[in-house]
Amino acid sequence: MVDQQWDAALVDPLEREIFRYTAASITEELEVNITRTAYSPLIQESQDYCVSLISTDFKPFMQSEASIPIFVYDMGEPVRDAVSVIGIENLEPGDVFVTNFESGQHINNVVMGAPLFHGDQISGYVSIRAHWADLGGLTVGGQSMGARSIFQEGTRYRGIRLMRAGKMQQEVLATFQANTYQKEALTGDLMAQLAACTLGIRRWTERVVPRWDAQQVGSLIHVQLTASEAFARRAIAALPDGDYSDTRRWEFEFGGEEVRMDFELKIRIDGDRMVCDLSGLPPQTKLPINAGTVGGANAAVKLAFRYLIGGDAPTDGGFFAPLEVVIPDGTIASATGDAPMGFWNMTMPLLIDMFIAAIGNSHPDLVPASHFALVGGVMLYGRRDDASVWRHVEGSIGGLGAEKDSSGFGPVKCLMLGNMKDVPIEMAEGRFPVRYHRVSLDREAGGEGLHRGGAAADKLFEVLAPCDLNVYPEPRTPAPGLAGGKPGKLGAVTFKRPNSDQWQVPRGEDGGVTKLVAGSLIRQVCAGGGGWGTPVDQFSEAAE
Amino acid sequence: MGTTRIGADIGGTFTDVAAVDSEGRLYIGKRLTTHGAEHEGVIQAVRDTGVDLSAPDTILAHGTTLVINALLERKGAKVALVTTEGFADLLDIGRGNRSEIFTLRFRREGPLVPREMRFEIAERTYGDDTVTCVPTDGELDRIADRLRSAGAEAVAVSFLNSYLNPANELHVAAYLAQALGVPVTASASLSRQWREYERFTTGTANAYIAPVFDRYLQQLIGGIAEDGFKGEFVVLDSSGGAMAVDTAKRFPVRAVESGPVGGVIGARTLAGTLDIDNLVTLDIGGTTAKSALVERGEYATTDLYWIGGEKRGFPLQVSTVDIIEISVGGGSIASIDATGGLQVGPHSAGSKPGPVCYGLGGTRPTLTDANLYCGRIDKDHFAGNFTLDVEGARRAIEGLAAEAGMSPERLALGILRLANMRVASTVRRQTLERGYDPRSFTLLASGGAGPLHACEVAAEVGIDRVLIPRFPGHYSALGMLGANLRLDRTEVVLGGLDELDPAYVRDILGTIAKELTSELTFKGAEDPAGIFFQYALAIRFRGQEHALWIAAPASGLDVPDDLAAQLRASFEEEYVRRYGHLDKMSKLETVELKVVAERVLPPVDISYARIEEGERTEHEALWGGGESVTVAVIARSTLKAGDEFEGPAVIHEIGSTTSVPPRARVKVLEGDAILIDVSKVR
Repeated sequence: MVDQQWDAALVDPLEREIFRYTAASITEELEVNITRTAYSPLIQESQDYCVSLISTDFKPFMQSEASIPIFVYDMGEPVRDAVSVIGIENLEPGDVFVTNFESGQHINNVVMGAPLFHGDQISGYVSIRAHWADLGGLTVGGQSMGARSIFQEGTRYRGIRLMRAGKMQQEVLATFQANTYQKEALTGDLMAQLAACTLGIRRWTERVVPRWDAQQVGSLIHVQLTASEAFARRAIAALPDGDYSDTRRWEFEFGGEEVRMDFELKIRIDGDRMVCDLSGLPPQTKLPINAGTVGGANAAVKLAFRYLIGGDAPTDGGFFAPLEVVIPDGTIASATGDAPMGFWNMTMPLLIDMFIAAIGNSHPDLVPASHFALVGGVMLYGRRDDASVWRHVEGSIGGLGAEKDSSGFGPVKCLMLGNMKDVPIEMAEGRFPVRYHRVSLDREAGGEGLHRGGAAADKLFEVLAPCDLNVYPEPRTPAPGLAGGKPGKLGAVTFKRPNSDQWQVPRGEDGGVTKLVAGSLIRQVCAGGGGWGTPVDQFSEAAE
Repeated sequence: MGTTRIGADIGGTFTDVAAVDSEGRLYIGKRLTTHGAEHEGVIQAVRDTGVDLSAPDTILAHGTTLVINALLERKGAKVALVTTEGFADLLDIGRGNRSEIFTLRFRREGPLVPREMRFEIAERTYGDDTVTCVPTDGELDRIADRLRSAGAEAVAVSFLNSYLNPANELHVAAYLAQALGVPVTASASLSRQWREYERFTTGTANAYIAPVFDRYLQQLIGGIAEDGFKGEFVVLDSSGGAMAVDTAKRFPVRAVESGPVGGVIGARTLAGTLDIDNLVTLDIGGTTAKSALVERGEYATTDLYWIGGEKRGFPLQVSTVDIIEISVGGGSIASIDATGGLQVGPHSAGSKPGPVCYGLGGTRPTLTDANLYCGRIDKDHFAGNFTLDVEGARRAIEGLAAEAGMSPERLALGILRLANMRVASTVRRQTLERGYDPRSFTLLASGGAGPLHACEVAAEVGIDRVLIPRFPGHYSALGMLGANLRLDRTEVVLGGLDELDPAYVRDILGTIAKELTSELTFKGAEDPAGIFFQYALAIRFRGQEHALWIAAPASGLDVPDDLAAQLRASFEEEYVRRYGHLDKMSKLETVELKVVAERVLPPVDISYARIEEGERTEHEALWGGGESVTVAVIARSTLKAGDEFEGPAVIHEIGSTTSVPPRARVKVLEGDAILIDVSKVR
């Protein structure tokens, strides 16, 4: 490959910002467009999507602001893979490709991408990830705790072109529609994604092409990414050098089986280098809680690093360049082969938390104590009278860790998720056969300490029609405290059938789900955050 | 003979009053805002205008920041919440989102009602609208006792599913108001939309400020009455109209955007006069730029307004003109950031120390300094007899240019360019991102700095026409002169569009119209025929989250038998226009119905002061790539209808300066507004 020579001298602080604003104006417009037209509430309400502009060497340089944080600048690799499968020489203006192959996440996360052209030269890519309703698989929605292979979770596509030279490929669309339980929702979301993609192509042609040639675009991106990398190196250099680590054990019962997993994460900071070693993760498992290297281990470490640096850091592909991740293939976050990934995100908040805690274990003043670190989630699926599918999800909202100078906040979504909103009770009761009995706050869920960990929610609701219940396993591992703080309370999801006194943990014995009858109650207790500092009463006891 | 109308706007720094008497003469009054006793500044500024207040048909429209400030600064009453058993913690839980996605130490501001002031009551309305549990009088008496001993100065009653059936809520609110004698807000009286958290925070915020706002209005109205005012006092409503005093006292949260909305009302009035279909506004002041949209006489509105920002604040579920705001203004500071990029804002020098050229101690170059350096402002006509420190501004620009390794000319033009790009994002959000073609829009500029940037912002977005009203620096108060009484109501109407029964729609419309009519009827405004209605339905493809508002086929409350078919056709057309594609596979469903009622108040016809004679001067300015260009410096008061000329030019008037780029063409319209064709500018 020819080493491209970018002329940085042509780029001054003004030109860079004009380019950056121009690029941001494109991702912003695409974001508005896709959230307004998407069908899936996951896209509008949960912001389970992301819009990214990517350089010719597959480095993301601009991304929409409101996406799920774990999607932090990670679409370069799926786009690179799709382009390599197609062959870059075969790409034409107006081509749009679809890929969900080995992105490291569940296959519902489908990336749609398109080359951006200056004349006949590719000057970048636009890519949009959105959560597709499902691509077939064992159950509606594609995510089943019963899956033991990714082939049971739906269909994978790898660089398949939905549009060629601006023309829709009807047979491709028909194939997507043939491989889903939810044709209507999938088509709606796919069309929203496609419209945003083609709009991106148009805006690039209108706003970027007339202002800068392809060479200049390359230089502008190069200078931006280089400056971001330098910023990140300075930020790392400002952290204390040393070797840091954290370990956790997860134990939970699933499908009648006892599961135990040991995690170890190590960090070395040496000047402006930071290496995160994930060799100590548990091996990949037959349960569908694996993630791949790209969208899994790497994404978690990148996001944790972004949290650690904080503030207005220039978040782009350059910012993450100094961060080195060591991970062998075959762990739970670097799974290979046909490892099932329906619940790929289950370990993500844990890895993020361990990264922060590794620093905190040695320097408790620098970071908060651990947060509840669970995606959690109660998923209910049922069919209406007209056989269409209804789906209601209650994500886990627990406590953040306490800090040196304040208690932890809560309840909120975990650190892998972000601006994802709970469905309002009134909307749920108006649209789905559910009824809420109580939604309260456990103010004592956070671990005790000089400052208490964040509080967690405690919800009790009833299903009014038969439906399938799907839950994330809840490991019996509380959020550890820091600097003498106590761990947070554990969370749990249990259910009780009508005319029964017994609260049970859902085991997924009905093909990965638990079948509920009308009148069943579900209790979702979320977990608290870790406390920070020795509790005051223990200080006084020690003094006596 | 017309009616005397007065507009009084309290801003962060100044309280502005504009008045037009029965002869059409315009009076302007200006005072520093009297923080803590805002009514005093208003009374003084009204007095300053010297307008005769005594005519009984005089109308005073008041826009105030009191409500938003009391909510932001948490200076309201000791408020209690009475809510459904099992749900008192909803105010703490919210929607469970972390709205700052990369912030590890995230936290949101706490609720207005502390936990010990929240009281649960056994009552329940189910999601299908059935009331299964009605609180007993005994229980209500017990709650009243607890509220009394807790010292509640105001009470919010917010029950689950009251959007669907407010019977329990209204019953309890009436009972407690009777028992306690303090303001009581039922959440459903403010919002009939689902989303309990948002409605609960709206109800609590309303109760929280009700006593404060009531006191303030009494002081203000009392003070003006002492000066002889006998007319109708109305309060600007965030949704782009005005409320009678009694309505404002009961629903103070509706006045949350009471100040900024004045300029948008003015824009709507002017668009009507000039027959402009599509107008986007741009108001730039010292710290922020704001943009709103007026399309065929209607505002673009939003149903959610955030107190303290969407990320850390709490929502109000009230209809508000959708004003998009960005932190760019004359005081925005230019700097080089940690990665070596040039930034304009978000930090602002505010009004103290202000821009370097104010000579009040500012040392860092601001947007105003760059405007001065580039000759967009005439140093002798910026703000009355205020002398600008040209040298200071030059030194500040040169200092930053050296740091950035750029020529000062390129840097100064670059600061303007970046500010214009940031501002353009708000205008783009109002137009392009709603699916509109910017070329069909006119940009109306106001605020002290709006007309300085409007032409280049328009060119950036692709808008060809810029409109500068007279006295753009006082436009909010001027705009209030055209306010009408207006109310709206939104209700959830969920179901398939094909199954929408016209009789059912007529029924709901009838009920809502009756309620709105009674709110808009009082002494001096009794004629039911003076009220105009329109309605719209929010429609989407089944399964979609986001809906589009589709206006009824005709204005008024008429419901044609083929309503569904007409709505479908309009929806499909609108959908394609906005999003460029249409999926015929899915069914359509209605989500909400909205009714707007408006009582038109007598309009004013302003005749601006006589045309003055004055010499045009010239000065040197920087344009384009940094070349020096000679520009004409013109006093606005010397321009008369029919005048036409080409830029570059600087047009100065009291409170604002208009910058006209090279190749832009200026035309002075009848009625004194200036229209600038920027289609040749790029």
